[in-house]
Amino acid sequence: MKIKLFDIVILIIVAGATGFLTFFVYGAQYGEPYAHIKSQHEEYYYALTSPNLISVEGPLGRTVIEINEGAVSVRSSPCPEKTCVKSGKVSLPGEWIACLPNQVLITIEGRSEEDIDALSY
Amino acid sequence: MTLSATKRLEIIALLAAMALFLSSIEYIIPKPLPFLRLGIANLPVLISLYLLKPKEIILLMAIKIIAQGFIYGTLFSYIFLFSCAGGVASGLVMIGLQRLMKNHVTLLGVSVAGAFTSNIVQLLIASTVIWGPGVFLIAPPFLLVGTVSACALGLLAESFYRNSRWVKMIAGPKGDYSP
Repeated sequence: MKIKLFDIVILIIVAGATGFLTFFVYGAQYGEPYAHIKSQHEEYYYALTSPNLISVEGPLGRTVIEINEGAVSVRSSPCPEKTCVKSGKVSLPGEWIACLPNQVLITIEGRSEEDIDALSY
Repeated sequence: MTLSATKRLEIIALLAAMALFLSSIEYIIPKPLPFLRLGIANLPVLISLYLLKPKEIILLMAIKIIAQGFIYGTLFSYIFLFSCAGGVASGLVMIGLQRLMKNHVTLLGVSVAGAFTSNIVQLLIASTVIWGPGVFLIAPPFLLVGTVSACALGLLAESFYRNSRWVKMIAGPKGDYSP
């Protein structure tokens, strides 16, 4: 089987775009990591330093999120596949847990101190 | 050479059945991480690019997307919107690429472009409809895995088309067939 010219062109474009996005996304992460929790109508920022149990409301019900020992995990979720619960713990900037059915997104972010005035403990 | 309407219908039905079967296989494969999909149900869609007319390819994709909605149980949830948007966008890109670049591209490039389009469209919807720009944190692993599996699928579909006796039976041995 012979690979043709535009196969290479497409691969270069896609690899380039993916590389650029990766650099752009992970390059913006520095400083003390914090958890950014976003649900259908709520949005919270939590420091990872103190343990916490957070409950957010989604279209299917309550998702319970746990912060413990500097890491975030989903303790329980009303979604059918429980992919978010199985995701386990995340703690490093750029890591995330997503629950598409219950519309909950948890991302670990790190940014300069001015940006995190809204941080709640 | 061209095919009769009955023969074309037969090809659509066969490829659709294959897509359904592969969707079920995909469903029972455990996913180590969320969003890590192989997309093996796209194999018949890729092959159809060489065998069917654009209208028929879109019909095949519609059957595949609705069937997956049934199998995954997402048909009546808003997640179905993601599959539809991703499917329509990647379908148009793949048909367009394959038709315009006919002699300069194989299913490898077509598959990679299709997967990339589908993933970007789904990320854009997730970003505008639900989670905002934070969702792009998900993008790197999502796109990387998508590209790698699309390469494998594209190569597989291309070599299937080149070597399959079933294809030779339909399209003739000399490749004198065009949809």
